[in-house]
Amino acid sequence: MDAIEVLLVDDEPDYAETMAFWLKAKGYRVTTAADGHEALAKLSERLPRIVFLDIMMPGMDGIETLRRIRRSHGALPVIMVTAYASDERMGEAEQLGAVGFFQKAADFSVAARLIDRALHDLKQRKAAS
Amino acid sequence: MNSERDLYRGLLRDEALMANLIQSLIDVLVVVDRDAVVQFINRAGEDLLGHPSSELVGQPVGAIVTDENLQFFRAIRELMTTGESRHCDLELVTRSGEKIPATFNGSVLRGPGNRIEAVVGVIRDVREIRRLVRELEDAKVGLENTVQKRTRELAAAKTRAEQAYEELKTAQAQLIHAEKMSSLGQLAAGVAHEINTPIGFVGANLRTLREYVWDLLQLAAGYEGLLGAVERSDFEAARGEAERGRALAQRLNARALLEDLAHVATESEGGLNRVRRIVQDLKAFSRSEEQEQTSVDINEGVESTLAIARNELKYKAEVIKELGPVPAILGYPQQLNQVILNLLVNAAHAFDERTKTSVEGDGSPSKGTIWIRTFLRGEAVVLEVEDTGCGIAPEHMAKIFDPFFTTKPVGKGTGLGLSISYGIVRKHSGTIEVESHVGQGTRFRVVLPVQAPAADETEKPGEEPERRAA
Repeated sequence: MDAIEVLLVDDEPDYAETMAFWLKAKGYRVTTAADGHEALAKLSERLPRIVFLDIMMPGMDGIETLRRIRRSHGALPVIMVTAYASDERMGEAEQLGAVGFFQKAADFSVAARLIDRALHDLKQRKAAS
Repeated sequence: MNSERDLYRGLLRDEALMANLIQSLIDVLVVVDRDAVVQFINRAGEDLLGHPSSELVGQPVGAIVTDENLQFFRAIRELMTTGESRHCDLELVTRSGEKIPATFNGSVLRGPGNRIEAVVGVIRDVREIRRLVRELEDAKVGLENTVQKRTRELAAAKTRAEQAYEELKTAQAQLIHAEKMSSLGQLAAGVAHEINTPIGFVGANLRTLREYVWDLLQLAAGYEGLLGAVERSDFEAARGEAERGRALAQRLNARALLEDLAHVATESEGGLNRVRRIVQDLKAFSRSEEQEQTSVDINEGVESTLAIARNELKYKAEVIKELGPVPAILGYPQQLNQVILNLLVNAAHAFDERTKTSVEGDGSPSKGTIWIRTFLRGEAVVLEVEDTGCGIAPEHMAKIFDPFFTTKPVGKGTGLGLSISYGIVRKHSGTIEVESHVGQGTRFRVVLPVQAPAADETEKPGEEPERRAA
């Protein structure tokens, strides 16, 4: 079975690297991007199965990046990453079709479950359409 | 860039780099690169995990570490960022799915440009240590349970002992009271006589008084007649009444009668006072244990005890009182009276014994002497009761303070008198000594400190009453 490709978008290299290491240790293939522009550039090169997108980033933030991803890549599953348990921008992200929220303080195992669920839902939606 | 990393990976994989040493380690040694891929694992790791090295190298490290071990990934993250070695617990997963608790000691491997390229982990199987810790904990719990159980048993035993002690104390108090009643019982005949004597003469006096009253009524009737005759101015009749009256007064010895009347009344009053005194003494004596220590005048105690025992003693011995001036001591007066009574009764009984064996020439029993003395010696009040009775046999000397030891016939003594007296004297921090010569007499000496400490009920077993026999 091919490794699932994950794009990790986070301006905090420390956090991004740890999460990338964990995802790799669990057998995912991981690429990272440090901001929205880099993320969009990577997406145009190669399409991952799922994206982890930090909401709060300098310059182009997560919401704006998500809006642009929707424009260019349609239904690509995106999980929003936030530092807080609740974020007023979650509603906006949800309207833009974010498939889940991952809190930075949570265990990585939660991220693994979010990925599984997102891909499962995607498969069902495809089957339904 | 990529080719440089590949080159380094090659170096890591090169068997030549791996010393024999690493392969023969007991601990697992694993090298994981920045992409979380296992680059090397030693023989101990192969053995523990059940995979050959070839199956593990190139695999993500998550394949041999369980999902729950996020602290392992946090340690790796810190290692990667700080380069400082890290220690943590983790759980390994073997090929067969068994989970093995282990500890992880990680450090970093640096590549060209001092860049952190990989993590070197030494992993130790801690199942045996965990097992030992569990055993220790079980042993500790077992020990704690045992200690708790023993503590409960001890507490129960203590409660039982305290109960037994309370029961003993009650029994002892009952015994002391019973002995006192027994002593009084022995005196009952004497006391009865003591009461009977005044009652007898008061009764006789009352009969005399009734005769006197009869005589006086006759005289009064004569005076009535005389007064009537005078009022009627019948001087003839008055003269006759006066003569009859005078003759009657002469016959009745009216003058002596009036004198005796006052005497008889005074004597009867005295007799009743004697009875009242005896009853008071008896009442005071038979009262149960007083609770509070009070000031005790030993001489007063001797007097009131003698009042009760007088009759028991007076036919057997002459009692000579030599009561010196002594200060009051702190103690229990009823109990000290019980001691005095007991010593006096014992002294009296010493003559019962002697009368059986030694009789005066004329056949009448010899009358002995009892001295009762009090005096001050240093800081102590001394009470002595000495008799000229039969004495105590040397072989009995060691037992006289033992409970229930008696040489008296059944019904005469409880065998508790001296034992209880000893207890009472100890309670007053005093001592009791005895000196006796068979056939000559016995002297008991009670020494009571004036400044007696607050009632010390615990008897010191080592301290024996002093006995001297000749």
